[in-house]
Amino acid sequence: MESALLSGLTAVAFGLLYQVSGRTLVVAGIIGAVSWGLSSLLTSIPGSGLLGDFVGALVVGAMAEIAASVRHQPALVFAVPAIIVFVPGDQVYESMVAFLKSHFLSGMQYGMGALMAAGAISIGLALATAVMRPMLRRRKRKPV
Amino acid sequence: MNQTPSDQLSTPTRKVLTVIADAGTALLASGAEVARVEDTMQRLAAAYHIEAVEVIVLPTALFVSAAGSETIIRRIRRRAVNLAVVAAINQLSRDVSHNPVPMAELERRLVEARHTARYRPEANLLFAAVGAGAISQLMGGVKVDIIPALVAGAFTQLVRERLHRAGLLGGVADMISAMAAVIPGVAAAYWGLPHPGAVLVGGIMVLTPGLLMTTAVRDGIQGDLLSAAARILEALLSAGAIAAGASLPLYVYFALGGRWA
Repeated sequence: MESALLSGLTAVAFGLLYQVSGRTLVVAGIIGAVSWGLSSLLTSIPGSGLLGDFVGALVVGAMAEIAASVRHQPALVFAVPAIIVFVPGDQVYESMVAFLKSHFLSGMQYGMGALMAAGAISIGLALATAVMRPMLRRRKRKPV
Repeated sequence: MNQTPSDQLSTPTRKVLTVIADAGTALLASGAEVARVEDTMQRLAAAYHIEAVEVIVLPTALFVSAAGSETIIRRIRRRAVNLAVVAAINQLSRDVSHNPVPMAELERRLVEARHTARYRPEANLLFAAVGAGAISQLMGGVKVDIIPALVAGAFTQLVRERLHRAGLLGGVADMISAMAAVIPGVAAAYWGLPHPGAVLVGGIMVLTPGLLMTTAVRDGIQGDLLSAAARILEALLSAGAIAAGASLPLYVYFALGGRWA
């Protein structure tokens, strides 16, 4: 719960850094908090592997598309601040330190872990956008 | 604001194309996806009744051409993330396609959109600091780690902004900023804080190419393969430069036998 709030705060801070303002910022923060909450819930299941990262990015992508179609703004504005927390910075760091200490094996291990996590995030985002966008577009056209 | 058809026809095509190219350039330089840039430019062209417009957008250049007019080419050299500009120009093109305003008015509003909601540089330092502080807590830091992480975020942003203003671009700027990002973490380790890693990651996250990753993915599923490939490469290069820059101070610190939790 606390970490979800922190994630929301991170999304807001990075949103501000990327010059986002107003209500968009609030929405980005909510997306950041909800996606991180779900993701850390999944990660706490033993043996879930990269599922948490994947689902987290999926949620970010889907919520960003919905927010974009409701508020008539580019989805990027919501997705970019919210995705930052999922970047596997800690694993990249562990890998770097391991290499510097000449622990090459664990360095490779962490490095691969980071790459896989980045892949999971990309696939999650891509899938969410690819599925949500046609769905939202069709719903919008119907009443016309 | 209704214009008669003859009014619209009297707007020279070249002038309109120039304004459209300006809008596209601003979008691309602020970090929008290729599909959005092309879409916006097409929509603006349609709003001003220019037929048969072809638009080609690459991450570093764009081309606009209308039937019976010259082609306009723009080269994009400097890019910086500014989502406010993306949102503002998106809104502008939406408004204009419903209700075409005179050319001068469009130009004025475009200039306005390009300068929207830029926070002051000092405010950016604060935002980066808060972001780094929050990240340090998410990455397993304890409460004390917030203080060096705040410093790390602000310092990293300060260095990056100075470098950007000095005209240093790309990998070199990333590398030097990453060196700066690591220093508070190293200081935290030197004074014996339990999780210097959390501080370090907080500082480095300010530099992450999060936008590049997101746009690369979105370009890829839209079928803009050239741009997707270029942006993935850029993100990888940038990440490599950051890792290299961050490694140097750490390496020196380890070589001097500094302690690390």
